Amino acid sequence: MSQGAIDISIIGMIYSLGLLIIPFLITIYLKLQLTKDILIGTFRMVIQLAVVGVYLGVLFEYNNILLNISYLIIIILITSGSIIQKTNLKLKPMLLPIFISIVIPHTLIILYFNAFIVNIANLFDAIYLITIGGMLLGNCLSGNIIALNTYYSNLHKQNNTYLTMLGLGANRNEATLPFLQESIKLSLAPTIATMATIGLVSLPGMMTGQILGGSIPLTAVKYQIAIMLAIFAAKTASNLLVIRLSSHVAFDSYDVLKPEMFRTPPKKQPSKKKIRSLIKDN
Amino acid sequence: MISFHNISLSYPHEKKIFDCFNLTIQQGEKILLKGPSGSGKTTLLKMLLGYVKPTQGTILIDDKELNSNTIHDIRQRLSYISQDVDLPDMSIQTLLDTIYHYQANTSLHPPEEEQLNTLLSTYKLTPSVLKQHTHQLSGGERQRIGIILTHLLNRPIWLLDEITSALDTELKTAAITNLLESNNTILAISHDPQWSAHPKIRTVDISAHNNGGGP
Repeated sequence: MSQGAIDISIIGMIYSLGLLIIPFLITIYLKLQLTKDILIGTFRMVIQLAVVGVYLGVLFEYNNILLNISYLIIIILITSGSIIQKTNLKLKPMLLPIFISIVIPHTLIILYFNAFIVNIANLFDAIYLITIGGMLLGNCLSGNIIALNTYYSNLHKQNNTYLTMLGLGANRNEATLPFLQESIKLSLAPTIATMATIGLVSLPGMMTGQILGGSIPLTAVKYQIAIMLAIFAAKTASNLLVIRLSSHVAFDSYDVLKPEMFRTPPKKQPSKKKIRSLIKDN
Repeated sequence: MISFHNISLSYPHEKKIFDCFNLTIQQGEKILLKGPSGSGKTTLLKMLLGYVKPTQGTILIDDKELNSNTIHDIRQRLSYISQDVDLPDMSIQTLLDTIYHYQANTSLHPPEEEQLNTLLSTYKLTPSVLKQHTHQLSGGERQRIGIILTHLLNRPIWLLDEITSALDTELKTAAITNLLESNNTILAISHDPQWSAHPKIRTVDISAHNNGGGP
């Protein structure tokens, strides 16, 4: 069982594209106007994965520690940028805090994974470092976006509550704690739900891949469990760090949110008082 | 003592809110800020708290100039309660516990049950209110909780922004009398006539203090 999955021929790949006929027909039938989006999406997937296939091949062939680490740092930089792009935060001031928040837990957890869970001799072996790293990062991305968006949008919406707590003696960390709690809870909920239902209906992609690649199911299951736990740990730690470290930049020395940290200036909700006075004036 | 020295404040694309504003408030004074809507009454309180920074000028609180080094100490000398008493959604008891657990408040002793109950009954609340969540309370109930917090924390300077607007006449009078009986410095904003009628109140029309005018 160890020679890996059967390679797919060019004709096989053309057949796989043939599956697109189904969504196309339905799109036309229901006038969804998605044809262009589907074409672009498919095209990007093919090109991006082809590029990944080529450079992963190169990375695995050389298996050079420095090359592997540089690759990891570059994908963490790209992840950090994508996270910021999906929030209302400005890229330039936020890139460093977000990058640090991701690089620290991920590096530690990947090395922990390689050293203690898989127990391999070369902790920086491309096959493990890059695949495990990629899986952790991909999963953290969505979680960190949820956490950051929830945190900052709630802080804007309930800015008066935050300021009231500052006025009652809270320091910045104390006054933002309820906002932090809510955003991390919301971000972790999908992962906890996935862990609770995994395997009931669908087979996780990683496990399927491993079985096709020649692993026995039990090995694939062990990897799946370990990777889920690693994802969960990396997500929790990076959630906390992205919020706490970005706060160092997002608040001024008076502990007030800096509007210039946000791409679209947060819409200031008129206070209830203002609304009342407007009603009174008319 | 609080003093505003030549304070100017303007937002981009908006008219100047303050232009060379000067005002001095002695310790223990009870000030009622007056001025048309939009004249910057609330902004003045927020400047003391460092929530809004003046474009120019200095603010002194008890001889300390307000800046990023002093703001945290200065904030601990102030209590600010706004009309809406925006509090996080938690039970009043949890809120009290949270506030008394803040690092800056650890030197304070949480109120004895008896003291708390007396305060609650002064403001016609029963101890059962402690179990209720802040978002379940009416505007008037939240204002009373805000007033009770002000009494409990007993900071030297009280900034009270329309905190009696949702109370009935009897409670308004009781609250205003209790607050003004204290030795604390008070800056209040209110449309309730009971404030301006109180003998201890000095009414300050803030528009008269712009352009270097006023005492």
